[in-house]
Amino acid sequence: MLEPHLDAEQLSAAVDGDADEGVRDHLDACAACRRQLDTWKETLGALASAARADRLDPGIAEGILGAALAAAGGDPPAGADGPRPAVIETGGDRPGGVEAPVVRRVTPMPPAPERTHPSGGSLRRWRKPIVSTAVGVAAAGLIALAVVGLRPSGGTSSASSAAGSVGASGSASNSPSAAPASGGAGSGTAGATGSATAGGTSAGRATAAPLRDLGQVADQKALVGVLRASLGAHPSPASQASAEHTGSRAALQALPSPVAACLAAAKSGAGPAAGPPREAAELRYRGRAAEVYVFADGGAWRALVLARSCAPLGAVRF
Amino acid sequence: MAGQDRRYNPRIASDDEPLVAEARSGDTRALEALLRRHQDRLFAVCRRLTGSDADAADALQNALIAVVRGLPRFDGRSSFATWSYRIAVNASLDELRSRARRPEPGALADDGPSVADRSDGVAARLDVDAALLRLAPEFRAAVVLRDVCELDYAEIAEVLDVPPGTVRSRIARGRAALVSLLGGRPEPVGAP
Repeated sequence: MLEPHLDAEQLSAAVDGDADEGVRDHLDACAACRRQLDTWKETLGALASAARADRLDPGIAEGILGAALAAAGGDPPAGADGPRPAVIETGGDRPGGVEAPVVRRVTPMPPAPERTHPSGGSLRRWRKPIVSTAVGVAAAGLIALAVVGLRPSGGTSSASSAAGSVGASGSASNSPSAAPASGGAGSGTAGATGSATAGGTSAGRATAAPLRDLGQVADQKALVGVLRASLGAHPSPASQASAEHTGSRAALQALPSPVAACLAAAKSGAGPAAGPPREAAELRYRGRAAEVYVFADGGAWRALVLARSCAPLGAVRF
Repeated sequence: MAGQDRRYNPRIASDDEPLVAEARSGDTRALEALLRRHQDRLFAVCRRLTGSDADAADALQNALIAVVRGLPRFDGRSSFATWSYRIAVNASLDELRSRARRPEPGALADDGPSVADRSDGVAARLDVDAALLRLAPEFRAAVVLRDVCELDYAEIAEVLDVPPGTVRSRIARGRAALVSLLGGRPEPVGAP
């Protein structure tokens, strides 16, 4: 036994085969440090073995590859009457610098319509009395607290926030870094037109009510089976026509309120003719946390499966 | 380290250059070939850094999309492999931050028995995962890049954008902490 024993940097260098002569001499003479070195090698060997056992499911791998290649093809067109998605690149707050910043897709909010006071004046010039504003804020807070308090804990939508339910038409953002971009356009203003940002991470979602959870869905065939069971084989002509022209009551009732985080991306993928989705649900699709949106598409259903990041994982018409 | 046959060796990077050039010029098939070539090793990084298959898949998807979007800006000063490792590491760290904002039951590393108490290989793998997750992300990334991806110190410094001396220190301390967490002797230096 020799004192002092090797320190972490010397043992680490010995593991890499970069030990200097002094360290090698010490190892020759010190059984304790040799045992310690063996323990290090065994541990790091276990780490490498664990990593070699990693296997990405082929189906998931294809889905991921498809999403990445879709990104190379440019953004899908937005609905004819909707805002066009814009790519906003942010460096984020990561340490160490970033050569390729995270790309987040953000749908900019349209300008809020000019509102008028009953007397005919513009709200820009009209100020609410302080008391009524305070009452409104308090009421909104109570509603938000009630929603949070009633939500079952541990659900898959536990990260959702009730704050988004205050807006009249709903505003959903799933990207914390995107929030300032949409906020600058008036997000959260009562009466503002609803918008949903797409892309980025799932944290900070503003879905007030948890989506229906379809559970594990192994593949496309299973997905079709699950959706047919809840929606029926085909959309009814009446509901199709109603959804196309006015947004039928049934169609609107099919959605949780407010709308789910990836709705804008789903509508963008479904095309400009798509009405409101008839189904929006959470699921684990091929092992990945995802959301599915189903639209009436002529006489059939069209389902779009999106990852938490709102990137497309798959689509099926049935 | 033996057994790396399935994975792409980042040091044989010259093969990438024609594919990168074609992909940058808009050749989708070249881009797909490039992504397929690197997908497994990037997943391995994401998997070790995030500690779960689902989070790793999300991180990998974000990383590949960032690679695709960033390819026009890739200047070739580093190899494509090193550059894409950097993106995957950052995507994984983003995923970890995202997960921290949406805590899930059971997501915490357990404090159960050490690997020395178990003989089952799966259990040992779970313990390695749990121990790795208890390292601070900067130490975890350094250890994974060295002991899983087999990058040399200079490459790791490039990926993490820190000086080589810092890499050396992080790897040594990370390894020491890992040995300690997995039931080895008390680490010679303080845990990170």
